[in-house]
Amino acid sequence: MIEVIAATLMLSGLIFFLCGSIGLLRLPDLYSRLHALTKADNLGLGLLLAGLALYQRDLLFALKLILIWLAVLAASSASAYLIAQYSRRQDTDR
Amino acid sequence: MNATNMLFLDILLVIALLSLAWATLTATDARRSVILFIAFGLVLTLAWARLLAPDVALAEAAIGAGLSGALLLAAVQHHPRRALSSERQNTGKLANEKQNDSNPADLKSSVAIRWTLTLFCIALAFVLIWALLQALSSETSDTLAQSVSANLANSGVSNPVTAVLLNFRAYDTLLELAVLLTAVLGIFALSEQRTGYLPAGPVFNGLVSWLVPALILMAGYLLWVGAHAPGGAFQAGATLAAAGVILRLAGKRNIGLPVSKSYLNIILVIGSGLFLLVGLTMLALGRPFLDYPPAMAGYLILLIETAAMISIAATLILAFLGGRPRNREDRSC
Amino acid sequence: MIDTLIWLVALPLASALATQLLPRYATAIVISTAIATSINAAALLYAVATHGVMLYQIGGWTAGLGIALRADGLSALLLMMAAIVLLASSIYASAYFNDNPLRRRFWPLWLLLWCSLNALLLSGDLFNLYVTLELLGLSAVALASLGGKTAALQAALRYLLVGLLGSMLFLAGVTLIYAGYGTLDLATLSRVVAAGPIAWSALALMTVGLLLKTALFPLHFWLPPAHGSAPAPVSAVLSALVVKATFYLVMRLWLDIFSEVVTPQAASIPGVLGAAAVLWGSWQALRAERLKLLAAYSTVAQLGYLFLFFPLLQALPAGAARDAAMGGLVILALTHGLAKSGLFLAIGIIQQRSGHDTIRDLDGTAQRLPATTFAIALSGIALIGLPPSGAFLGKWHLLAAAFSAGQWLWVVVIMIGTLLAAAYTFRVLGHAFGQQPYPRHPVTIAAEEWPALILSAFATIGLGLAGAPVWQLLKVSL
Repeated sequence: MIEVIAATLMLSGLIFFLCGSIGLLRLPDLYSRLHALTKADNLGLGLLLAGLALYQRDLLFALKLILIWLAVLAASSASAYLIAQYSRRQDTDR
Repeated sequence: MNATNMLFLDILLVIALLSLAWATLTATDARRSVILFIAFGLVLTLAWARLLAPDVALAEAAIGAGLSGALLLAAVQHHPRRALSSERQNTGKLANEKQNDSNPADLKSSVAIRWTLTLFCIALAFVLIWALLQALSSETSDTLAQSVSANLANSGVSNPVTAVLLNFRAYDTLLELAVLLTAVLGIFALSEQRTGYLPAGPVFNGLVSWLVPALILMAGYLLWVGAHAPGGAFQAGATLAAAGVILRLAGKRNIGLPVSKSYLNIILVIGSGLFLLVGLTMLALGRPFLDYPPAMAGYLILLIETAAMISIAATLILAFLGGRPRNREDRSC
Repeated sequence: MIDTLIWLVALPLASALATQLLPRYATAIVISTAIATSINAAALLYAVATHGVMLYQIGGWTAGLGIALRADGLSALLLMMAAIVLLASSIYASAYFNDNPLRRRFWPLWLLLWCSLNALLLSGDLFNLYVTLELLGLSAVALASLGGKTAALQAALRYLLVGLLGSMLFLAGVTLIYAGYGTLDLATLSRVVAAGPIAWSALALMTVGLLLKTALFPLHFWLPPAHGSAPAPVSAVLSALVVKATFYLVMRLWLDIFSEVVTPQAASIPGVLGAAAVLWGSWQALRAERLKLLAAYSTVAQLGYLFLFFPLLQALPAGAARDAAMGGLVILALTHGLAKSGLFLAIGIIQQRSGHDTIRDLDGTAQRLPATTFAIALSGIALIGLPPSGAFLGKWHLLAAAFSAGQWLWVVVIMIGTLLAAAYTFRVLGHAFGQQPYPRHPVTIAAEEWPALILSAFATIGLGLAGAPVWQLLKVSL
């Protein structure tokens, strides 16, 4: 049972990744691309890691995964912010 | 996981590596090719991990992908032609539109050179693969690996990689630290440091304020763990340097390095200096150069590695800064 | 006594660190290190002559697991030559950089270069050789770029890239060797290595890498600009020692470790390239407008002579004739090292005094700087190979070997090369004389003129008249 839940979580995580990647390729400008990428990847990675944690059933392992997720969250939101800020500065300069 | 799955993963890795390498080489824009190179380094890290070489994977991640990437990006940023093209950008086009910043005549000759080099490299790769296959099929027993494990108990550490680097072949590592020192002195000889970046905004500062302590902690961990698991001075130094690079990008002026030139010199020299001192001390005690007493070996290796980490980190950060320190008057403004 | 080996590496390294920490006392540190290391090298030479091959196992581990330092006649001779050149150049450089702010950055790199040279000549381990090559290449590039303008920096950058490519090829060869034979120790390797695809491709990779660094024609393109635009003491050391160090490695690999693997056809390749280098380098030297470029192209040509020995040594059976030719090769290399460093130092004096080194405008140099002009003439004698220079002995044995191996073609190349060398030497000397009166004291700037003069004189007279020990020492080999 738990394995089915884990698989579902991982699969839905992958779907988020797929959507994010399609968004990165298809959306027209930088801001919407960032939007697609960060939202989808954060959620997708979270679901994927949640699935993995359930699959392994090990508390220490799960804690490590959560730590990884938090680190990626912080890094990706900060870098998305920085990219957007840089691009806005460039736009307002001219 | 079973063998078929792993084979699938391996094939995926190989394809990713080759296509990323190709894309890196054929990219027309320097910045794009650097970013592809960083991606290449990350995939290469995975490949090393897959080959059960975690030491190499760590080094590749920290130095190959991380710091080299940062260095190359900084170089592209400060390249005069890059500056020209961004001026051109300012005269009208949208910021996120792709720019081709080389002129056509330049491009033509460089394409010819590039293709010659590519063909040469492919031929070389085939020769290497052929010879390597011959070598691997000759089934010589790896006597070196055997004698390393036979002598591991006397080396003071239980990680064979660290034992080789800091004990059996410590002389190589000493000279490598001298190479690093030479590199940084060469950088000093070329130019002064570049001017810094703008101070970071609140979000980046927030990130910096917990990322930098985390990196310092991680460097300490890598240094300590090197005695019995993958890690060691080079990886720890690179991690510490990453903290410095982040501080620099956030617009911090001194990025943790001392302002005074003589203190900076001490930091640069301490890695190879302490190593050499330990070696010569053994000589004074009537032992061969760098022959640690087995009972002390573990402590001496940790001492050497700590000093080496400091010098390595300082060297890498100074490479990122791109030159010798400016005079104080320049700094204060 | 046996610690000599490690001190030859450790002392320059320690002093390099000391000069970085205490720039104020740098000159004193460097001069005392230079004297101590020269004494060390002489002690090593004596020890090798009396006791035979010297071995030092670093860390107390047996060679193979650990790294061994080894010295035989060849490496001891080259170490001694390096010590003489570097001692003289250090004294010269202390005057050359007298009040120059560059001095601070010059000394540590200078000593690191010395450390890497000694480490390379003593190393008995293939991977360790790679590390020393890196150290040598980097410190040489950093020195060559010191205080240079755009042209010098471009030359230095090309030098760097070429050097890195060369080291990479060498490393690829080392990897193959390790994969094939499971050892990096040179002594073990020379016993187990056997003809086959592994040995051939590894030797080819390492050789191409080293030839790139040795600047054998047609891989010499980087040398003239790099050596021609570096500061004078640096040019002297680059031309006399740095390219010699990689040449020494080629020699070790081809004539010693892989000697069973090398076929006559393979050995003729460096010979042909060497012949081309002799002709092309001498011709370019004759046409050069600047003295430093002349000296740099002359280095390309002189390196060519050294490679001419390869097919001959391969063809000659082991015995007295081969030993004699081997001695000729080494004495030619030694003479060139001393003479070329003397020449570059002398050119540096001219460049500093008159602000340029254009050959056509040398008029009156013989009157203003008689000692320096004399040094140029002496080193010219050694470059041509006139008696009593060491080069005369070297070329004599080269010709003898060519005759006894029946390979007549090389004789023609040697003849033409020698004539061209005479032409470019006399061209310089012809321009140097003018109508002005001579100064009262021939030596006007002692700290700079004496080193150049002594180096050239040693090449021309010392090695020529007292060259016999070279043959004795070469009998001591691994």
